[in-house]
Amino acid sequence: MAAQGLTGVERRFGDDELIVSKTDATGRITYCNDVFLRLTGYAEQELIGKPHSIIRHPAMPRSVFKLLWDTIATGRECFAYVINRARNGDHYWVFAHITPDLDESGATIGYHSNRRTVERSVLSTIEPLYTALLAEEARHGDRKAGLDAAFASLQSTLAAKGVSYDQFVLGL
Amino acid sequence: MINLSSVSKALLANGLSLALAAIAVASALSAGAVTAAILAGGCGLLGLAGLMWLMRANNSVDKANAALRQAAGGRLRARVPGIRGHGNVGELLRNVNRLLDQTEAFAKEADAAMRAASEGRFYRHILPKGLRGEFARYAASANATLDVMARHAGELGAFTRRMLDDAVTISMTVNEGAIANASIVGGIRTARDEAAGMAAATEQMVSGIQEIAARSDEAVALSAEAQDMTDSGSDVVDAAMAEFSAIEAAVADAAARVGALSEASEAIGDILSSIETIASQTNLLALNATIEAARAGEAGKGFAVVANEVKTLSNQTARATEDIGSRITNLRQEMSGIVATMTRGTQAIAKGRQAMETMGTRMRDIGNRVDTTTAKMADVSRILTQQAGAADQISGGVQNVAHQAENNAGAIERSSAALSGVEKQIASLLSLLVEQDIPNKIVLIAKADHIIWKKRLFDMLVGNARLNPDELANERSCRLGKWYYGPGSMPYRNGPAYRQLEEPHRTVHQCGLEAVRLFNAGQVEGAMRLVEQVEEASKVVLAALDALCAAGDCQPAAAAGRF
Repeated sequence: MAAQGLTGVERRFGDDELIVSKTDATGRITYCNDVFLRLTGYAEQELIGKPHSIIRHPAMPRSVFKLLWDTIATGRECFAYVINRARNGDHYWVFAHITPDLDESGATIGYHSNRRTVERSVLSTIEPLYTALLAEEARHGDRKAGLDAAFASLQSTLAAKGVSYDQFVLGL
Repeated sequence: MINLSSVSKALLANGLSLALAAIAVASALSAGAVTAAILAGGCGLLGLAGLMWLMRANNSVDKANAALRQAAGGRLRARVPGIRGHGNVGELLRNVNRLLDQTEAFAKEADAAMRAASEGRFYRHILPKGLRGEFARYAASANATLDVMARHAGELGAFTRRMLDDAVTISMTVNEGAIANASIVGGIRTARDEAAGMAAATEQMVSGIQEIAARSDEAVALSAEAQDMTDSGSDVVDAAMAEFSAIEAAVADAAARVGALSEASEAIGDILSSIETIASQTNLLALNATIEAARAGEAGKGFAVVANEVKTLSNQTARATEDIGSRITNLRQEMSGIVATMTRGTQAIAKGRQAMETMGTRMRDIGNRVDTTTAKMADVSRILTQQAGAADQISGGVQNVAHQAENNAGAIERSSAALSGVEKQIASLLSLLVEQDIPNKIVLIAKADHIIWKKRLFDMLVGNARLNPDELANERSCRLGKWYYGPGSMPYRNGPAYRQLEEPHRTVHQCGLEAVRLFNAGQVEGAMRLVEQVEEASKVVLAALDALCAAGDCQPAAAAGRF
């Protein structure tokens, strides 16, 4: 939404802080905490009702989001290292944990995300992986084909390591 | 009204003071006290502003209250939305949200970690980052507990895995033992049947040998007769030879005589020539005498008659001589024909004699050979008689072996019965272990399953069990097949061992089923050949299963396919 370009400036937050946000079942923001507002530079009323992709950063491969949503759609928790974009074009890295919010009958009524700080050492693994996935996505003219190819490449990378995705991210 | 909060009471007081201010403004105005009215109005406006702020504060308290009520009811997703201002009320609301953020994060983390632990994923800890104070401490102690659980689960897993390994090994060993027993029993039964057959065959052989020996004796007698005949043949040939020599001599003698005769004929020829000359001279003399007689006239008449007679005689003599001459010529021609014939006869006789000589030589030769043959036949007959004795002994030995085999089969069958008790216990242990969450359990148990399957086939072959092909599992319905073609094998499908498994596994089942069908149709030989194929394919299956185990050992069974 914010029209500014990227600044290349990284924003940081504390290891004892959680960035918390909630969305409805369609991914529109229903709650974000003060750390979220501080990091993104938005006011609360600018975010409520907006899609969560408002803070999406172009360095983030779509295939990773596909993996996230495929997993969360089955009702399971999922993890991902995510780079987000602040309102002014700054960026910040988070370790995101996403879970469904369930009502009393167990139906999914929205999603909850807690984000934590990222160890610098992890980025030396994640950044090249995401660069490769982005390149794979861009290599195909068709967006869908690119997404599928990158997704397949991510799966085969994991298969080659002999670990599941959550073992991989939790093990970093 | 008694349970009003202080904010509500403040609102009430504020409303009352507004009302009082309004009354004060009205009474000041009616009293014409403008200054007092302005002051009272100012008080009232301030009171109004205070009322608005109080209402806002009350509203915030209500929002906080609503969120906290939800949270107190355990609905931790509640939050206070739309917080404005940074005063203590705003901070109050933010702190409500911060508290709920912490509480919900801890609760969700604890839930996820415990749920993962229940699935054996002990590596899913409570993420400690972002949690503060006691939340962080509780998280740390829960994580320490998870580590202990992981260690215990690992030990239990290793123990169970070890137990499964051992149970599978024992099951395989016991069943291999049972297979060995079954095949020994089968072998012994076959040996027993074959021994019985062999004994009968040996007896037949003995009587055959005796028969041959008897025939050999007959042959010896016949050979002796042949020898005699050959000898007498030789004698006849010798006599014939002597006869031939006599004939030859007689013919030669005859030839000589004919030669002499021929010479005599030639001498007769010479004599005839002289007779011819004499006859011719006599004729001439008679002619002269006739002429002289004619001259003598009447006196010569008688003489003329004699002369005429002489002339007639000489003419007859000449004719007779001519006749004899031609006869002698004929005779000589005949004789030279006889000589030629005789010469040919002599040659023929010479050839005949040669032939006879050859025949004589051959007859002697035959005689010698018949002699040798007779001697050898006698040897054969003697050896056969000895062999018949040996075969008799063999027959006895074979029967003994069959008897021993039967005893052994009994012993092995008792050992089989003992083994099958163990088999049952191992099978029930395996069915207990298969309920446990053990990595590669299907692959491990499949090894035991396939040995058991093989054993059933062997039991069938040796007559210990009867199998119905319709009740037997195929390559898709057996435990391994369900795993192989089901989702459980997903993590293995890219490896070579997975692909190498399919073909031999199918062979094991298809050949096994076909073996049962053939066996039930009475085609035991065909069934045995198929079971051999099952055995070969089964070895490949076991090797592929071992390779699968080796390849999959690093993967916890529960992690596959989950993120």
